[in-house]
Amino acid sequence: MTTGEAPAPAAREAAGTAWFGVVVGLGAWGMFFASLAFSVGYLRMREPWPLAGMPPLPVILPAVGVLLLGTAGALLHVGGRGARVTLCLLGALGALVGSLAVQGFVLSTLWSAGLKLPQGGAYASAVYGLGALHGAHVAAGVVGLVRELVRGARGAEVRGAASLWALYGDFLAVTGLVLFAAVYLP
Amino acid sequence: MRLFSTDHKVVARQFLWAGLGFLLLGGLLALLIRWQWAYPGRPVPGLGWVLPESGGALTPPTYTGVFTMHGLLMVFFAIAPLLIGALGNFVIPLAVGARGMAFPRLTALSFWVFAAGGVLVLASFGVRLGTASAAWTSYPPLSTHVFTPGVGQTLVMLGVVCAAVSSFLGAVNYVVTVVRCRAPGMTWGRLPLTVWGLFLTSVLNLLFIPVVAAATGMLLLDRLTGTRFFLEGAAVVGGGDPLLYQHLFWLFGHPEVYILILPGWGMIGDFVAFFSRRPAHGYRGTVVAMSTVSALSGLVYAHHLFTSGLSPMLGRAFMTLTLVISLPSTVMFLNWMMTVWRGSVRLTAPMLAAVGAMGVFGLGGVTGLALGAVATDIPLHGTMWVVGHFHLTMGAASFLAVFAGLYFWFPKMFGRTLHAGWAKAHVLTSAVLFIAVFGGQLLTGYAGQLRRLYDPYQYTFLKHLLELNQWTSFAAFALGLAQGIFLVNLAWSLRKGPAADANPWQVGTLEWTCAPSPPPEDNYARVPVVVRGPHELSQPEGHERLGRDWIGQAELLPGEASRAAEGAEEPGSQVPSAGGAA
Ligand code: HEM
Ligand SMILES: [Cu+2]
Repeated sequence: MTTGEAPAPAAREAAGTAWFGVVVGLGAWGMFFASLAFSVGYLRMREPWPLAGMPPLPVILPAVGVLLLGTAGALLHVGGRGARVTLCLLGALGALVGSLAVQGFVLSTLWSAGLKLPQGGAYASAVYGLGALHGAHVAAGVVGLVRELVRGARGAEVRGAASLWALYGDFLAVTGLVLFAAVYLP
Repeated sequence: MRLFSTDHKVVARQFLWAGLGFLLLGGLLALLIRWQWAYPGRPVPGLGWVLPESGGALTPPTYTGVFTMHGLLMVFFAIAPLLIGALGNFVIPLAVGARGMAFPRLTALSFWVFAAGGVLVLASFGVRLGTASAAWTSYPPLSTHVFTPGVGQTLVMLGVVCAAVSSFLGAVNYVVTVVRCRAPGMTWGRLPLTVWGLFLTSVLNLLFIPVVAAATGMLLLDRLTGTRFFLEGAAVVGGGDPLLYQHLFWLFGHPEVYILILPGWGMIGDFVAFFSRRPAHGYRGTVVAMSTVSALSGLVYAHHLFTSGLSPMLGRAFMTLTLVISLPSTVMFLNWMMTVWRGSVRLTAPMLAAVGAMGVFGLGGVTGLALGAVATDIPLHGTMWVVGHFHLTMGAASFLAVFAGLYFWFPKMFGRTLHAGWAKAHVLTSAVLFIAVFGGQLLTGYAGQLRRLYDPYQYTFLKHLLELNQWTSFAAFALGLAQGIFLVNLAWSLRKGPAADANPWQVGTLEWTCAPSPPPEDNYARVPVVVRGPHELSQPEGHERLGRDWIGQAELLPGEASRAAEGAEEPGSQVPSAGGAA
C-alpha cells in the first residue's frame, strides 16, 4: 500500500475490530490491577505504613519509572500515526527497559536497606509482589516490541501493530500509576 | 479434525470433549463423597488399587482432596467449558450471522490454555501429598504452604489460573464478535436470547476473572516466594490478612455463579419460545432483567461473608442488594412461564431440559432467599443447606441447561440426529434425581449437618441423619448411572444416528435456516441479511404466505422484498429443509 491511499473498507473494518478487541481486553484486565490496588488499600488500613522498623519508600524514582512508561505509550502513538515507526518503536523499547531498570534499582536498594521477605510482612509483600506482577506486564511489552522491530526489519508493515502496542503502553502507564499511588505514596 | 484449528466449530468440539471428560471425573469424585457419607470409612468397591494403604477406604486426607477437586473440576473445568467454551463457541458466530469469531487464533489459544490447565490439574493427582485439598474456594491460611504444603495445591492453583485466562480470552472474543461481527440487519433486539446470555456472561467474565486471577496470583506468591499477603500470626509480624482473600474471591465468586447460569437462562428463554411455538413473551423485559441481574451481581458478594465478622451495617446493605436481585429474576421467570402459557408445547428433549432447568433453578432460588437474609443465614451458613442451594442452581440448573443446549444443537454440530426417546429419558431421570439428591442435601442442612464433614455421625446430634444420607447417596448413584443413557446415546448417534436435516426443530434463527447441518467451515455461503427477530413463530403471515408456523430470521416473505433495502436484489440465503422432527 502506498502512503496516502485510503485502506480498503474490509481492512479498515478489521483494524477497527482489532482496536476494539485490544481496548476491551486491556480495559477489563485493568481489573487485575484494580484488585491489587484494593488489596493494598485494605492492608494499609490495618498496618502502619511503613511498618515499624522498616525503611520508608522512595517516591521520586518510582515516579520516574511511571513517567518512562507514559513516554513509551506516547512514542508508540506517534509511531502508529505515521512516519518513523522504527525510531518510535526503538524509543519506546528503550523507555520500557529503562522503566524496568529503575524499578529494579529501587527494589534492590530497598532490599539492601533491610526491607526483606518474609520479615517485611504485608508491607514488603506489596512492594515486591506488586512490583513483580507489574514488571512482568512491562516485560511482556518489551518482548512484543522486540518482535515488532524484527518484523519491521524484515519489511513487514508494523504501523498498525505499533498503534495497538501504544494502547498497551497506555495500559502499563495507567496501571503503573495506580500501583504507585497505592504502594508508594504516603 | 485439525488439532490447532481456528474454526470456532472445531474448537467448540474440543471444549465439549474436554468438558465431558472432566465432568465424568468430577462426577466420579462426587460419588466417592456420597459413598463416604453413606458408609463412612468403609472401603469403596473397586478402589483398592488406587488406595492400597487403606484397602480402598477414603482416609480423611484423601476425602479432603476428593471434595476439593470435585468442586474445582465442576466449576472451572466442566460447567464453564461445556456451557461457555463448547456451546458459546459453537453458537455465537452462527447465531449472529458471522463467518467465524472475531479473532480466530484467540479461539484456539483459549482452548489450548484451558488444556494446559487441565493437564496441570490432572498431574496434581500423581504428586506426593496428593492433589489440592483446601476446598474449591482455596481459602488461606489453609491453602498456604503452611497448612497445605504439597505441590499438588500449587499445580491446581496454576491450573485454575490457566482456566481463568482461557475464560478471559474467550470472553474478549465473544464480546467483540457480538459487537462487531453481526450480520447486516442483526440488531441487538433481534439477537437470540442465548446470545444475550452468553454476551452478558462474557462481560462478567471480563470484569471479574481478573479479580480471581489477582487473588490466586497473590496466593501463589505467598506459597512460592515468601510474600505475606494472606498470612499472619506467630510466624509473621505485620503480615497480611486471610480475610482479604475472601473479599477478593467472592467479588469474583458471586458473579461467577451468574457467569455459569446466564447462558442457561438465555437458552431457556429461547427454547420455551421455540417449543411453545410462540414468540418469547416480553423479550425486551427478559433482556433488561438479565442485564440488571448481571449489573447487580458484582454488588452482592459479601452475602458470602455475613458470618465473617463483617460489620452489621454492611451485612444489612448486602442483604438488601441480594434480595433486590430476586426482582429482575422474577420478571425473567414470569416471562418464561408466560411464553409457555397457552402455547402449543412440544415436549422435545431440549424443551424438557429447559423446563427442568427452570424448575430446579426456581427451587434453588427460593432456598437462596433464606441465605440472603442475615438472620436466617447465620444458622444455615456452613451447613449442607448452602450445598443444596448451590447444587440446585449451579449444579442442576446449569447442567440441565448444558444438556438442553447439547440436545438442541447436536444435529447442527455433528450433522446427525440423537435418539429422541433416550434423550428424553435421560433428561427426565436426571431432573428427578437432581431434585432427590440436592433436596436430600437441603434436608440434612436444615437438620444442622455441617458441610465437608468426613464422618458426620461422629456428632451425636447428626447420628439420626445416616439413613437420610444413605437414601440421598442411592439417588446420587442412580443419577450417575443415568448419565450412561446420555453416553450411549451420544456414542451411538455419532456413528449411526440418521443424518440431520438443516432445520429439524423448525425454528427461524440463522444457524438453522441459513446453513446446512453441519455448517461449512465459513458458516454461510452468503452472509445472511437479517430482517426479523429470532422467535417469529405462529405468525399469521407465515401461515398465510408460507404455509408453516415459523419464519426464518433472514427470510423474505413473498412480496416483502421491497421493504428490505439491502436484501432486495439478492436471492434468499435460506437453505432448504425437509421438515420437522419429534
Ligand atoms: C435468588 C437468588 C440467589 C440468592 C438470594 C442467593 C444467595 C446466596 C447466599 C446468601 C449464599 C451464601 C450462603 C452462605 O455461605 O451462608 C449463597 C451461596 C451460593 N450460591 Fe446463591 N443465591 C442465589 C442464586 C444463586 C445462583 C443463580 C447460583 C448459581 C448459578 C448460586 C450459587 C451459589 C454458590 C455456588 C454458593 C456458595 C458456594 C460456597 O460457599 O461454596 N446462587 N447464595
Ligand atoms: Cu453469592
